Amino acid sequence: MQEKFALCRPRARSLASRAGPVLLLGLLALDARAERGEADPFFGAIPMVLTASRLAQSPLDAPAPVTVIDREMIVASGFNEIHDLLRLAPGFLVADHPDGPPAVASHGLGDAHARRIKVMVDGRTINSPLWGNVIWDNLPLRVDDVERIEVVRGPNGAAYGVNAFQGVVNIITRAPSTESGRAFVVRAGKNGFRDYGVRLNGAGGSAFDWRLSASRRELTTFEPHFRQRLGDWHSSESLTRNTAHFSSVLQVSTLDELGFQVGVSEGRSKRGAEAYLDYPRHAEDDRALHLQAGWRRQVDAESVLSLQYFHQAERARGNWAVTQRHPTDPAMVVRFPSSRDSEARRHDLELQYDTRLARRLTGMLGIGLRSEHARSTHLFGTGRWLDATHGQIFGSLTWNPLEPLKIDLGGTLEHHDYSGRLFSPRLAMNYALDADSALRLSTGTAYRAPSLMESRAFQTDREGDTIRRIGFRVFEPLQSERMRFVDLGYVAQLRPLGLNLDARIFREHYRRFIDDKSCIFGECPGTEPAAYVPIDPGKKSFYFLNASDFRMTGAEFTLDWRKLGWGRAVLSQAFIRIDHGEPYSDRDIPNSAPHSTTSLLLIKDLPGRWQASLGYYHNGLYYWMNGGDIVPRIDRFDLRIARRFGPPGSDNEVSLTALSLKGRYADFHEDKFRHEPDLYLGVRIGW
Amino acid sequence: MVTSVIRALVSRLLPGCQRVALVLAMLGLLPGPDGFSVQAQAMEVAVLLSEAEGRGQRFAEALDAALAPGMHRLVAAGVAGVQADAALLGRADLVLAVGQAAAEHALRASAQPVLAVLVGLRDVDRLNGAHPGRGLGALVLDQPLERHLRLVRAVLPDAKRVGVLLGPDSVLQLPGLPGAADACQLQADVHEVRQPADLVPALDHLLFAGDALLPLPDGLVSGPAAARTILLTSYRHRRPVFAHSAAYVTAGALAAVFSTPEHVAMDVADLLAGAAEPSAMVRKIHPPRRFDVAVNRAVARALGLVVADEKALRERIANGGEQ
Repeated sequence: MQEKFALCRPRARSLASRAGPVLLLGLLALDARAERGEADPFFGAIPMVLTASRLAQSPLDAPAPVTVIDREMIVASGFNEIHDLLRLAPGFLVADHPDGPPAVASHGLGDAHARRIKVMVDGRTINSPLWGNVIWDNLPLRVDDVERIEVVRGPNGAAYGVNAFQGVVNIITRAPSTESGRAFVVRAGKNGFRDYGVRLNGAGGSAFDWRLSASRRELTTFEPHFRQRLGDWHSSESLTRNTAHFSSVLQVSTLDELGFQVGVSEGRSKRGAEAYLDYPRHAEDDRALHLQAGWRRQVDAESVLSLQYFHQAERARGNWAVTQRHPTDPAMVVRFPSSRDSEARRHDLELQYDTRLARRLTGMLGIGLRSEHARSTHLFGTGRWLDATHGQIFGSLTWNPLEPLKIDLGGTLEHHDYSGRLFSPRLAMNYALDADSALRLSTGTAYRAPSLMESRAFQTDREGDTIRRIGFRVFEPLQSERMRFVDLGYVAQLRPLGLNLDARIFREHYRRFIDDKSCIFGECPGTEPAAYVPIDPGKKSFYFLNASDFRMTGAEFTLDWRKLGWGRAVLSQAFIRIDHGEPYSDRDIPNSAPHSTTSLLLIKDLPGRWQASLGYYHNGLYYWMNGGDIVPRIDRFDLRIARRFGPPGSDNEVSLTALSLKGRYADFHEDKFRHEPDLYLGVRIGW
Repeated sequence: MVTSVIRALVSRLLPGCQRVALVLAMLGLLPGPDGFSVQAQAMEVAVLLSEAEGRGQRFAEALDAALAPGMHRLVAAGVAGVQADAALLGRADLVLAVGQAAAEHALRASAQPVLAVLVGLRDVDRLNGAHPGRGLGALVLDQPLERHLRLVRAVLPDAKRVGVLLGPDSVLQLPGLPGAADACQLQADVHEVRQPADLVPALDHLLFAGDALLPLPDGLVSGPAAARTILLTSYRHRRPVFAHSAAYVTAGALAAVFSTPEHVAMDVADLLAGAAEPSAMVRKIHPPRRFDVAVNRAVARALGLVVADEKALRERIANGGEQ
């Protein structure tokens, strides 16, 4: 066709032959628009923005059970701390205690250092290198920065690697390009609660988008609690935190994007109790740094190559004097220093490629390297840096042999310094019953490698060269915990009713559960160090061990109903049973999950841009292990009333929030701790 | 039938250009397709490209294939600004300028009637402003507003309000919007942005109440950076974007109506077939008749939408957008 057209031209040279020398000039001629800084609306290239890696996967297609806590739920919940948002995920247990950061567990097995959930911010793992838990109150990120939280409610080592054990929480931050101008946020309420924040943004709509948010908050989570039964007082906790977070994206070309985030958090915690001889009132200082840089090339609509680097640093400082009395000689009183001084760092590098391999086959392949470093004389008995490196290869294939059937085969092979080589496979099948409903069957194996503490702990308090007290320690190298699971799910979107349903039943078999056990001087399973001279030999120390095997069976569902003009209701329910572990290494294990947990969030749109929301959170009786204890049945109600103002669609609002309308509630350990309720007024003004 | 028999016969006897020229000459005496009379005077149409390759060349090839044989004589006039055939541009009955740069060159270098194609409404407006009195004709890439809104109606049967995002160029289309929205039984909330900094507040405004967002073609609103903001913000509000190019759909818009160079070529072929003289085509803006629909299935899935296939959507648009 080209030839026919070209041959009939007066001068017999084809357009193609002229293309070379004139192409550049021709393009320059076209660039009259570019000179004006304008785009070609019809044929101009546009960066591929909403690709599979950016879109939340439809629960109909997901190979694992997924809950999305979206922005509407986040705002309506009234929660001011990120960990509290996980109360909205079925089966998740959230607790706070005055002696450290809050704890989040899924389906039980939680303790003060709950570490069986992998938590990520924009895809990068933020679990502490020390314990493997998350220092929730020290995240360099605030609720206002969060766009949505994607919660995988089960093991998913095949996609996220070792330690994606009981669940995966991915906190997705708000894209800087979706925000502009400046905003001031203030919240103030009972118990001296103060929270001031500013948000500054780039102009928006440009190739370089950025946001800087900063806040300072002061809160009292626990007042001293008087225990009538024994007539003693228990710990309190007051926190001050300064947080800053900078996020930026540079669209280098229509294919390439560079992202950079840095967040810092620092502040003081006042903890302890006057009556505690070993944990008196004192101040602790915490600091955290997260730095994330990434390059992403969208090769085509279904192929993306990404390279990410993440650095995490944590530092804790806290010193106090411990007083111990000899059990039989009251005159013999010894005071020695105790501390929680520690430093930990992580470097994480990951390369990942997602692509379509054939019409019905997509694949993902990645490689990751991670190094972790920690130093704490108090926790490890040495002032040296302890180092560990891990490497992993992960991949998955998704095959659609038939239109309604999707088979997902994935796995992660990880070499872990603490536990050797581990392979976490997963097979999932999704069968679409129709366009709006699907069945899912998934099965696989997941591992949790021992944390640095579980591998190397030797927690001591010393008086000179003499060890006066031992906390956590390790006698024998531990093996990774293993879980084999099977999950059967049903997901449906009942459009005419505005209802989404997500239900599942599952069974998980735990092997080599890592627990800690207490022992007293002379009866512990290893040789006591020569320098260990306890004042009270009856005081317990704790050692980690691979303990019980057991089984967990559960069922859970979420109903998400929405009616335009009325509002929304999100109901989640979970039933859990732990059994087949007799004799348990810890009798709290089978009771560590409440038989029933419920969350209900009602959001009611009212005339005049008012909105009311009610949160209901119920748990049956259960136990937090190792440091925690029984938590009674709780029915908690939260209420929030807000009114938007300013231009339609703006985030400007004034709100009144009451968290725990019934007042103080038992948290983590019924006998010892009462969490304070929150009542605060919030104002957000943007301009 | 007669035409095809003669074509076949000649193709066996004569090679290459001679064959084509002879066929064109002979067919000039025969009745043409679609009932258009070939008694009309055949025009010499100079085709001036903005670029040596790409969509302009695709257009030229498609036009060559689509044009009724013998109707008019298409002659390549080179590339605007580079080796353009000044003599041809000076004598042709009609200059077919492919792209904005070619139109600009043609209006400067030729006194003959100019029909611009593969241009937008704002290009035509600017060219007419720069060359008053020339009476530029154009077959534009901008889809009729009603066609955009029919797509919204076809994809979202329950939609009530659509946020229409305008920029400095597309604000030209504002007067036609109420009528088009009424025809589709939609309420159009309109917001105009004048600079990139206005974009996010405008999006928050439109997405607050709208069931969907419709950014109309515009130099500001359709740029890569603005598109990224539009797509991310719309997804944040869980609202679909209806766009005006295939690239926008690949980037993350839910669906779009758009015309390809091939569609435009066929539309131009129809125009030429029905035109006895250049004046019938110039001084007018012709909307594209042929169009295609693209849907991003991944976005539909993520938004929990079930969207009919493209063929069904085209039919619904042709029928007014209703299912």
